[in-house]
This record gives sequence, C-alpha cells and structure tokens, in this order.
Amino acid sequence: MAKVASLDDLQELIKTAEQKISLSSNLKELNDYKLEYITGKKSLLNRLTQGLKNLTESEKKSYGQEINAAKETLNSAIKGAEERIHRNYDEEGEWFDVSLPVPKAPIGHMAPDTQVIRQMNAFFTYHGYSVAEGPEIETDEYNFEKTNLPKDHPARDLQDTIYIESPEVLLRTHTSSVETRILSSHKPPLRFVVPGVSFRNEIINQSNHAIFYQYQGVLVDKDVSLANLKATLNEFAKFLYGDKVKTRFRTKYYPEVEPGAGMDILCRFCSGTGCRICKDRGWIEILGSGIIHRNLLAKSGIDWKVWSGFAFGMGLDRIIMTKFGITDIRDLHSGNLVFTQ
Amino acid sequence: MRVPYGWLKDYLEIDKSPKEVANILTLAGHALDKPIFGEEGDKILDLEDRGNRADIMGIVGIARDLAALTGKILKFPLTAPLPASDNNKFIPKITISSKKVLRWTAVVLRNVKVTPSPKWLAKRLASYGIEPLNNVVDVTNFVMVELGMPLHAFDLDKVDEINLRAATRGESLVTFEGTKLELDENDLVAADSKKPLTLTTAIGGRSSGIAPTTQNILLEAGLYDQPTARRSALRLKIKNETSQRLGKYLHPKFCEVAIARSLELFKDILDVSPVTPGFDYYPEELGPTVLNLTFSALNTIAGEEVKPTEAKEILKSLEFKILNETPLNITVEVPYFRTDVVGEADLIEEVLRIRTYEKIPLFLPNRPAPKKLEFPERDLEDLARDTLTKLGFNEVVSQQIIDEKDTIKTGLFNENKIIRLQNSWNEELNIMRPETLSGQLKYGLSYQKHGVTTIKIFEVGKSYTQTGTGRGLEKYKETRKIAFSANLDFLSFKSFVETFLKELGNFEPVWVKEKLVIYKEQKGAILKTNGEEIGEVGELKQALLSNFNLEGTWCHACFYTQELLKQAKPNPASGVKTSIENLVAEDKTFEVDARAEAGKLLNRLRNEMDPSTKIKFVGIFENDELKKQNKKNITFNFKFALKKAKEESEKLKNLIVTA
Repeated sequence: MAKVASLDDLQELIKTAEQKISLSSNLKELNDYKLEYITGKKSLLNRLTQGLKNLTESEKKSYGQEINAAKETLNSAIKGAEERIHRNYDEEGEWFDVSLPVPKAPIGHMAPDTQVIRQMNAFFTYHGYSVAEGPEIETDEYNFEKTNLPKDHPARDLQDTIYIESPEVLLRTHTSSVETRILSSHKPPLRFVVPGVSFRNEIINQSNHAIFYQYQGVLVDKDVSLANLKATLNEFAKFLYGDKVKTRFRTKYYPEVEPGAGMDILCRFCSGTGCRICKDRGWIEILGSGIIHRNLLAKSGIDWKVWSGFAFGMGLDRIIMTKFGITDIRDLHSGNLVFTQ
Repeated sequence: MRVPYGWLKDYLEIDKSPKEVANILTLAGHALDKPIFGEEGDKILDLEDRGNRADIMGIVGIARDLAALTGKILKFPLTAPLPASDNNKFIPKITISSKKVLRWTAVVLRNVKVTPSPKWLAKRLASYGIEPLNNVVDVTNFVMVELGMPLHAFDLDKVDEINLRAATRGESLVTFEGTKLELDENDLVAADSKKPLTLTTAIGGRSSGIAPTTQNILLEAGLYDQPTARRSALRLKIKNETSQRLGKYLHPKFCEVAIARSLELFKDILDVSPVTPGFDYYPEELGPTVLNLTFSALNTIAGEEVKPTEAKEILKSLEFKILNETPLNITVEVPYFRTDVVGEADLIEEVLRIRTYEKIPLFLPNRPAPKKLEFPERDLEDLARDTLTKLGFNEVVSQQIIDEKDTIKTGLFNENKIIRLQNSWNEELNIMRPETLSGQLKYGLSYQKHGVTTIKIFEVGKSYTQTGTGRGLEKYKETRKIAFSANLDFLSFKSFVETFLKELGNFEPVWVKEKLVIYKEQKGAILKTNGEEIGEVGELKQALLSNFNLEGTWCHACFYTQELLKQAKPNPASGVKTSIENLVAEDKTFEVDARAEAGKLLNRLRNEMDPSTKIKFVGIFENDELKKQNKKNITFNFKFALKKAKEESEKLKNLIVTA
C-alpha cells in the first residue's frame, strides 16, 4: 500500500485481519499473520505507520491513535488465537482418571520347554556347539547297538523300550541316538547339543513320565580329557544357577561313556547338610557325563586312537518345572499349561 | 543295595561315621540312593545298584572298594575247602540238559539239624532286610548278601534226581512263597523226574525246600546265561535278591567261592561238613582277563599327569595283579570278580575314581570350534516361533503319544496310516499322533476354561504316520509342522497367516479353496507357492469344535516345515525404508462374476503389472443391478513408480479381465 488508507478503510482492513487471525488453525499460520499484519518489514502496521509522514499534524494525531488502537486489537487477537490453538492441541481439558484399570495388552509366549532350551543353547552355541537333532522313531542300531548297548546288555533293562516293530523299530529311549547318527555321518572335530524328546515304558507319576525331554551335549576332538569335561560343565552350572553354585563330580556308570561321571550341585535347601529334597545327600544330581566309550566311537566309524570326546546329558523336565514352579510333570504337555496375563 | 554299616565293619577297619563312609562311596561310584536309616550303631546305607558291577552286589565288594579308598586292608571272610568233585558218583544224579548253564557246583551235607540261626546271624540278616528262617536257609542268604552269589539248598530226601533243563510250555511251579508261575521254554528249571523244583535263575519251589524235618541237604551254586535270567524274571514279574544278582555278569568262580564260604559257616554253625565228593559242571572255564594300561592314555583322559606309582598302587589295592611293567605302561591281570573291567578305559576309570574326580583340574577345551552343523529346518522353526509369539500366539507342546479317540474326534483318523505302539505304559495312550490338531485344541479348551477371550496358540512339532511301504524306518514318516489355532473368524485369522508367511520367508501364497475334512466347506484352503503346497488354513467345523467342548469360531493353520524351507525367499528389506518413494496412485474397478475370487484376480494383476507397481485390494461392491447380472465389482488401488507411471497406467487401462 503506497498511500495511507482512509480511516474507514483502515478499520475494514483491521477487521479482516482480526477475522483471519481468529480463524487460524495452527501456530505456523498464526505466525504468518503476525508477520503480515504486525511485525514484518512490510506488515500492514508498518506500512500504515510509514504513511503517517505524509499527513498533517492534526491528521497524524488522530490517525496515529487509530493505528495504535489497531495494533492493540491485532496483538490481542494474536494472543487469543495462540491460547485457543494451544488449548486445541491439549484437547479438551476435561477431568480424566489416569488410574483407571485396563486389561493388559496380550503378547505371545514361548513354551517353557523352548525358553529353557534356548537359554541352554545360548551358552553352548557361544562355546562353539551346533544345535542338532534326529529322528524320534529309531532303529535298534542307532539307539542301542551303536551306543554300546548290544543285545542282552543289562543296561537295556534300565531303559524299558517302547516298540513299534520289535525288536528293530522303536521310540528312542535317549538322545544318544542322535549322537551316534551324527558321529556316523560327520567327520570330527565336532561339537553339538541335542535338545529333544525321549520315550520309555515307565509308570508315570508326579515326578516321572514315559515321555520326557533331554538335553545332550557331545564334543569330539583330539586329546579330550575329563578336565575339559569338568571345566565345561562347571561353567554351564554357573551359567544356569549363578556364579556361587558349587559342583561335585563323582564316578557314575553309563554304558555310553568310560570313565563315567555324574555332576551334582550343592543342595540349596540345606547347603549340604542333608534334607528331604536332596534325599539326605546334601547334593542334587543334575546330569550324567563322561568320556565317550571307545566302542561307541568305533561303532560310529571314528578312530578312537586319533579322536576322543566327552558327552553329557540331563533331563530337562525337572529344570523346567523348577523354573516355572510346576509341581506335577504330567502337567507339562497334557494340555493343562496356559499363559494367562 | 543295602549295606548295614555294622556288617561292613566285619571286613575292614573303619574309623569314619556312616555319613562319611556314604560320601566316600558316593564319590567312587556307589551313590547313596536313600537317606541313611536304621538304629544308632546299626545304620543302613542304601546304595544305587544301577551299574555294571556284579561284585558290589555283595558287601565284601563294597568293603574292597572302601578299603582301597581309605587305605585299609580287606579282611576276606574265612572259607572251608571244597570236597573233590566226582560228577559220575554224585548222588542224586545230576543231568545238565541246557547250554545256558555256565557252571553248577553242588555238595551234599548229611545229618543237619534245622534250628533257628544263632543270634549274630539272624541280626545280620534282619539288618539287611531279610527275615531269618532257619540256620540252613539263613546261611545261604548270608553268603548271598556277603559275596553277591545266590545259593540254593534242597531237601535231599525230597529230590530223586535233578535235571537242569528248559521248562516246557504248560509246566508250572509253586514258589516257596506260594505263588504259581506259568513257565515256558524260555525259562530254565531244576527239575526232578516229574516236575520243576526251582526256577533256577530266580526262585526256589515249595516242594523241595528246607523244612524243620529236613535232615540231608543238597547245597548248590549255579550260574546261567544272564539274559535268560533277566528275561525270565521280567516276564514272570519276579524281582528278588536272587534274580537281581543272577541277572548281572557274575564270574563262574563265584560258584566255588560261595560254596566254600557256606561250608565254613555250616561247619561253624551246624557242625557238618561234606563227606562225599562234590559235583562241579564247568564246561568252558574262563581264563583271566589281561589288560594293558598306557600311562600316556591315563594322563590324556585325566587332563593331568598321574604318577605311575600312584596308578599301580591303586590297582593293586583293588586286587589287580601287575604282570609286567615298563616306564610307558603296565600289564595287569584283572581279578575274577571284576567282570566289568574289559578294556584300558575301564582301568583308567579305576585309577581315577579311587583318586576321586575331585582331583581332576579344570581346563576348558582350547581347540578352535569346529564348523557349524547345519539344521535349516530347525532354524526356520525357530524363526516361526519368534514370529508367532510377536503376533501374540502362545506356544504349546503336546504329547507325541496319544489316545486314538482324540484323532477320531478331529475326523482325521485313518487306520492305514496310524502307527500303533506294541507296548505302552497306558492302554489308551497307544498311537503316535498322526495330527497335531487334537493336542492344540486341548490346550485351547484349557485357555477357554481360564477365561481367556482371544485365544491364539501354536505348536512346532511332528506328526507321525506310516506309509505302508519299505522296510524298517522307511515305513515310518515324521512330518515337521508349524501349526496354529485361534478363536477368530476366517478373515481376521487370515490376516495373521499372511503376516506370518511374509515374515517367515517372504511368501505370497495362492489360496486355493479345497474341501478338507476339518474345515467348513466354503472356508478351507490349501496354500500354494510356485505350485507347491506349503500348508492349509481354514475355519474349523462346528461339530469338530463341539467334540473338544470349544465355543465360538475357531480357525486353524498347518504348514509343513520341509515345504516352507524349499519355497522360502529371503526377506531383506523387512519393510524398512529410508526415503519416501514418489508414487502415482490410481484406483481401478473390475466387473467380474459374482463367484470370482479376489485373491486370484490380485495374483493375476501382480503377474501382469511391473514388479515395481504396488497393488492393494480396496473392496468389493455389489448392488441389486449387479446381482441380477450375477456380477460384482472389485476395486484395487495401484501405486506406480514415477518413472513407470505412464506406461503402467496405460497397461492397466488396456487390461481385460474376463473372470
């Protein structure tokens, strides 16, 4: 605007500006109006003020008063609009109960078995073991013959077998069948763990089941010692039960190994003095292990004069039950176990 | 194996408490099985007997180990000399008609007076848990517990002859306890001219046993083929002190040692000794086992150096005889009672176990980790677990052995494919599951009972079927599956299925409607990728759901890991983008037959258009006019890449859809 508007025009301009400001919906728009009408170099007020110099003193006085009034009107409109926009951002300021109880959003859970197996796998994969597996319907050859349990071996009686086609086709009685399958088909050095189900024809009760889960580990390399086995399992016990765990290794017979060893941890209920939980032993057995029997290596086609190894195995169900507070093994896989929020 | 502490002290000097003794024995392979019990002064140690050692079924065997472990001397019990044997002159006549008799040694004692046993003997047996009967039977039981070798005494006047033979089917035996056993040709009996007198591998009979009137006895110790003994006991459900010992690999020399020890006791307690020649059948005499122990092998397995002198001393303390020695190795003769020691590794274990494993140092394996073994199915299944839990599904693990009624309830039962177990712990649980659905629905019911409103569950597992062809394992198939169920309607469930498949292997399958047993007729589909079936999805039939007491609408999906693995594609982008693509959008509506499938049309459009064009289903429109013509409108939204927009838009304009 090159020349000053008439007073009527001025009032019309201010009215239009005031309207636009009051309708602005966001702060950016409002800022643009502020520049256009009030603060900008070429703003309406600036231009009007500059036009004053062309007026007479009396005109200047009355016109000046009008400009000041307009300035006030526009500033007040801007302020009002700002408050309104902020208020809109916060939505309506009505009273709200933030403590209102709500149902928790559902998430999925892995089965207790998977959670424990994954935890153990994490330890062993860090130490260079692969996670292996094999068939559950097995042959006598891989389940018994190659695991150093030839026909008529007394230890077969300890593993009351469930047969599909007696005597050749059966349900694996232990995950050692996977050990013999892998040793028979791969060349050493080897490191692997096998989490998996096994089956035995046993009477079931609160703490024993005919269908049970095992976790087996195998290492085959050169010059493998009981010292290697002890150190590995000691680290594993710390991983599973914490740094303060106390372990004990003792001789124990397993046909797949020689020498054989059992690993116990100090009973945390009685700290070793003996109680009902540990059957007065002061210790709780957690796994069986040993140096892989030369017969097992030989039957799997591995030269025991060059290679040796260790193996260990443990029942998973007991560990799962302890971790999840399950008191009856029959609840583990019968359909009773649910995750509620 | 029960070991009365007081009895154990008969064979060595013990300066430790029962608890300390139990700890020492536990470390050396004889773990305490149950808490120590019994009265003060006669505590009982109940030790595990799951190993392969026959000698520790006698208290002397345990005493021998304890002596070696504590540096004491074993006091072997006194024995009397055996009479010379003359099998031809022995009365009664003994015939051995079975090759399963490895050794049979017998003596005759005349003019015995059957009375209660002396107090010390009765007390010893009672502490072990055997009820004292009379001096004759008690001596045989005492020697069995002491040495681990069972013996049997016949009333000689009730036996005209003894034939050790296989039983015949239909024969029976009434045991001394009064149980009638139905025998068959797998059982080994000692029979007279008429009937079996004993099941010689496990239990004596009533008719020929020792009675208060007995005056003359035939005392025998026999060893038989161990598997025969075990199988007989198992089939006839006999688990007693005799069957447990004769099921282990006892050395035949135990026969003469046990008789010699009993003769000493008979002389001492009953004041009788044999006056006629004995009987000894031992057709294949076993020579001693001779083994080499290389010190380097011992050190390798130990993981540290074990001094040769220490190794030798330990073996000598266990009665191994050193036959030869060099700086590198020793040659030893294994004592007869250690039938479990057959190789060098066994000798190594003997040395290390007496030293105790506690002395073995800790060294982690220090060789480089070998190459990883590949199990891609397992990796894919792990990804499936991650994906489904992210989608809010809970994992379940159900039993592999089930009741066939559960499969019948699903409608999936097929007798020809079922794998039946020949023996099971439970009459009803007798098939391998041919499907994973029933197990999942049982979990579904548990969730329903817990009041969970939206139930979403999955299982990664196997189903088991038989193919009916091939031999051995070939006949049986383990199918890996990823299956999930939810109480959702078809389209809501489908949305989870699509996300799952996209995440798992970038799958964009074709949904082919198919009538399947478990799904509603119009709401079941087979999913295909590159023409290959990867799984099935559908809304479960109401009748099936009511069989499992499930309420509402349920959908189920089942995918085959092997097939998924073949068809999976990497999903590199995982939906992550760093810049906004400039796309040109356009909607297009196609008028198609009322029963045309939107999914098929979408697949066709994807094939026709450039891969850069993104096509999204918008909706279906139907009105009366269209319905009259048996038609409907399907609208899709197309987003073209800027560079191809013109070309693609033109292509779309000219596209003729005739579905």
